[in-house]
Amino acid sequence: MRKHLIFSCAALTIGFWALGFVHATGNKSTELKLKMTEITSLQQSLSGKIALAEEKKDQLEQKTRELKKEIREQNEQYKINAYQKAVLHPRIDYNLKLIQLLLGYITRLKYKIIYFQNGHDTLNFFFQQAQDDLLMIKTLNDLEIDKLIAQINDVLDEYIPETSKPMFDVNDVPLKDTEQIWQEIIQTN
Amino acid sequence: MGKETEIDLYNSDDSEFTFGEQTEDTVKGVLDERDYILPLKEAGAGSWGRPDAENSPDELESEIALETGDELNPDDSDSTVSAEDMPDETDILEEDNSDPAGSEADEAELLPEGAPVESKSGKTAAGEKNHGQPAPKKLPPKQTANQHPQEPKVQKNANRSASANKIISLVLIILIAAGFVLYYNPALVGLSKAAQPATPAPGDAVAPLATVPPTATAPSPASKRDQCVAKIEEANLLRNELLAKKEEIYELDLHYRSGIVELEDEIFQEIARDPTASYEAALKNKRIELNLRTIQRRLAYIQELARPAYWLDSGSEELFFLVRKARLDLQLAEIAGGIDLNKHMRHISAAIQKYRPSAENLAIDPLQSKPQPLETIWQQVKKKADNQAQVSQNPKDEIIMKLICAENYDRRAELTSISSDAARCLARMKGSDLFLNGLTTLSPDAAKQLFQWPGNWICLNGLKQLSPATAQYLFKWKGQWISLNSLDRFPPELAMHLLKWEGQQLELMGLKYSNDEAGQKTLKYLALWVTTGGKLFVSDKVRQEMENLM
Repeated sequence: MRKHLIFSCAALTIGFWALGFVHATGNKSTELKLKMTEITSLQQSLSGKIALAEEKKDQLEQKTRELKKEIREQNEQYKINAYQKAVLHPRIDYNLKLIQLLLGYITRLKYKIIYFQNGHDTLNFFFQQAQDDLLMIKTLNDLEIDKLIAQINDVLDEYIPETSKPMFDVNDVPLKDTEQIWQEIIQTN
Repeated sequence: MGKETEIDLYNSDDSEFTFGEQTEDTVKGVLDERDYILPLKEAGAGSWGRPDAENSPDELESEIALETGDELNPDDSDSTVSAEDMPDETDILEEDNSDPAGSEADEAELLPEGAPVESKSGKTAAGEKNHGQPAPKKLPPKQTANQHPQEPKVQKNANRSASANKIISLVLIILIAAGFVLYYNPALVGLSKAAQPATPAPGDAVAPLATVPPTATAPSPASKRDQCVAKIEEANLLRNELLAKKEEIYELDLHYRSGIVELEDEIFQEIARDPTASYEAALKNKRIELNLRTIQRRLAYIQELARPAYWLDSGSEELFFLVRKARLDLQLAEIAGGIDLNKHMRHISAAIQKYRPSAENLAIDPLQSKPQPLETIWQQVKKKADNQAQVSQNPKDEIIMKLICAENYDRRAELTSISSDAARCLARMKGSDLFLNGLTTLSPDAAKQLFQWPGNWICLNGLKQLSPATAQYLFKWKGQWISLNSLDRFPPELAMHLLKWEGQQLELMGLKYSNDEAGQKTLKYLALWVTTGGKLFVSDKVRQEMENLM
């Protein structure tokens, strides 16, 4: 009777150990899968942001081309070479100011596109690592993932707020000198 | 319920009270009534200042006897105690008791016939006495009428109570009626009644409602973006208005310039009669003098028109810039921060305010402008006339013109210039085609004669320039086909005359595309002429630009 009791206790203890081990392994897999889901979601957001920024950049570039064309036409009509004379014509003056603004916006958008693209690529890198680690956990039943999780969290923490923030501030754009813009336009005429 | 039980016990001993089948009902009625009486009695006890009397069985018995006596009187229905009557009766009691001096007498009056009229102390004694013999006290009035010597007094009390009830009821009815009357006629007491909305009868024609201003159901306030878009639209409308006004000024300018050309042509004719005439001599010719003065005035007008035209141009350009800038920020609103739409609206509003066309902004004063001296104008006109005369002094042309007037048209294509007389002769030529490709100039006078020719196709491919005055006659021609392939410019003032032409085909293969304002206007006029059915031959480049406009 006593022997039977001892065996029962031992079996129970082993059972608990095994369950605990399986549970811990399952936790790691789940955590990794959760992070992978978060990565995918953020990547989608970033892709959307990149596409939007590209679209806007193209629109702004098209607008810049139109404004430059107008300036060239005005230049042909009035035969102006000097910047000081050019800005006396309202259309040329206003168009130069608009181009100045557009170039500033385009610069900011280009920077943001690169930034988002970097984020997307970084997330892709960690996603692949998470995939590999997940396979490893399935095979070997265990793997250290805390460092990876921390790295993923760092990237998520950096980029998730960026997806809900404006891409740039219109009051903080680099403004190119209008005379320089004018010179570039007439040189490419 | 405890009190009901107590009362039952008292009544169970009342042998005289039980007469036939009515007994049970009566007692039940008494018990029911007691339920009403009790709270009143408690209130009465308080007012009377007899808290100890409340639990006195004698007093309870007296009360029951009073009530029973009233109820058992079958002849006097008014004396029946009901829930509605009870407060009235209590009120009467209270009114009676309000006089402390007479309270004792009143109390005695209210007591039933079985209770002897005596003082409070006597009453207590009677109560004690009646405890042993309760039956005689609870006899109904009718039963005791023949037995009791005080029966008329009790009857009188009952009648008085009934009368009081009647009076109170009557007063209440009157008050309610008065209330109704006053409610519907508040003017009787100097009040006014709130006006009720008139409900039209079903058959009545309902008058159409006046338009209610939308403020009553105002929609939610427009968003800042919507406001900005509305402001942009407003700016666009104003810009279109400014551009239209600018176009009007341009056409007016053109009109004056065409008029000057016509006047110059008239002066040319006068000069042709006396080519050596000096300025002083010319002024003696009234026609020349008046024409010069008209040219002078028109030049002043043209000069003055420049100011409002510039103002309109500045306004339209500034508005265009602000609109473009605001649209740019609106376009970026979803991705960029720091966009201040209020600032855009402020700037646009200021520009709208500044450039709204008004009589003050567009006013001109030609009298204040410094007119060009008549002598200067005369010298310019004389110079043009001399140039024209030199052209027409080609000896070969003189010979050909003589031949033409002799109805020999063989060498007509060699003409480089043509006089008015020769043109008149040439117009008599029969045929469908007239090729005058050697002509490099054509005066308005000659044109006036030449374009009387009744043919179908005229070729003037040697003409490098065409004055508006000449064009005026050219496009009055009745023919169908004109070739002007050497003209590289076709100013809008010529194009305006073209629109009046009834012919079908025009060749302008030498026309060069110009992106200046005049060039764009020319294209617009040409495109308009094409849309009215004209067939135009121009270079591919010009056609492409025209199609872009169309």
